[in-house]
Amino acid sequence: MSSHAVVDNYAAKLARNRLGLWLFLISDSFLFVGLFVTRVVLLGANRPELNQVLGFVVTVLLLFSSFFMNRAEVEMAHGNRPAFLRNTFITIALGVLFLAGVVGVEWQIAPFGPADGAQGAVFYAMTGFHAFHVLTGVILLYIVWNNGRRGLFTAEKHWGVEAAAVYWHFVDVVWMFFYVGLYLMGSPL
Amino acid sequence: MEVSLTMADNKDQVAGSRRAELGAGVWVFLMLGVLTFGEFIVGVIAPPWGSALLLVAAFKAFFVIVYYMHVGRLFATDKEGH
Repeated sequence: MSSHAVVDNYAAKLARNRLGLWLFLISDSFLFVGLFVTRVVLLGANRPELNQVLGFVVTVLLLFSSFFMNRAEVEMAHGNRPAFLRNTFITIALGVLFLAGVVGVEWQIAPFGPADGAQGAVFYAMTGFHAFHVLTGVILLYIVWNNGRRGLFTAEKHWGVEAAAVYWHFVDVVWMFFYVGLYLMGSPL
Repeated sequence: MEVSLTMADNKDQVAGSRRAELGAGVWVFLMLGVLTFGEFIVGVIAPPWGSALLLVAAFKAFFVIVYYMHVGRLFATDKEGH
């Protein structure tokens, strides 16, 4: 097989991988849309009684993590492995801090439990499903970081990095809507 | 001489492309930061306007999908792969 054919083969595989990932993300987004619609139907013009400052802080953490993930991907695309590793590590740390903020703090200080009516059900279901995605994203990023450390990615071939980055940004996009729905929309119950 | 000049040009181009991509990431991040802070302020002082913030969230999501998730690559030709 000529080198040209190998390159063409990789490009075709890459195109299929991208399509597959986006189809997965679209199907996954239906879950989050369903949760958001549930929030609108059950709570209407009200919102759960939550700490808005904490909500803002965890949102900013996730925003920063997306920024560093983008840098990590750009650096890998240009073959700068140390910068890729550094930025991915920061992304992972911010993801863990986000989880700590939501699950470790917000879940503990919320004045209601999962079984305390609609606001409890909505809040814990929305943040729980999202936190699970953040957790899987952190695990995925750790695998990518470790593979990067072992030199498995190059500027020419780094689909794993791109996929992890797209997944991570997807989790950020979901939170953009959940943040508004849980912390900003309507008056507290 | 000509060959080394071409290599230097190529190196400059690569460095320029990296700088441009990182720069775009910074601008998108700054815009998202300003909009998120604006959302927070509106959500705190004017909760009835909270629903309108969904439009701001959609605007933010658009920029993340285009500039961070690179949705355009989905429709790119094989020349634009890595």
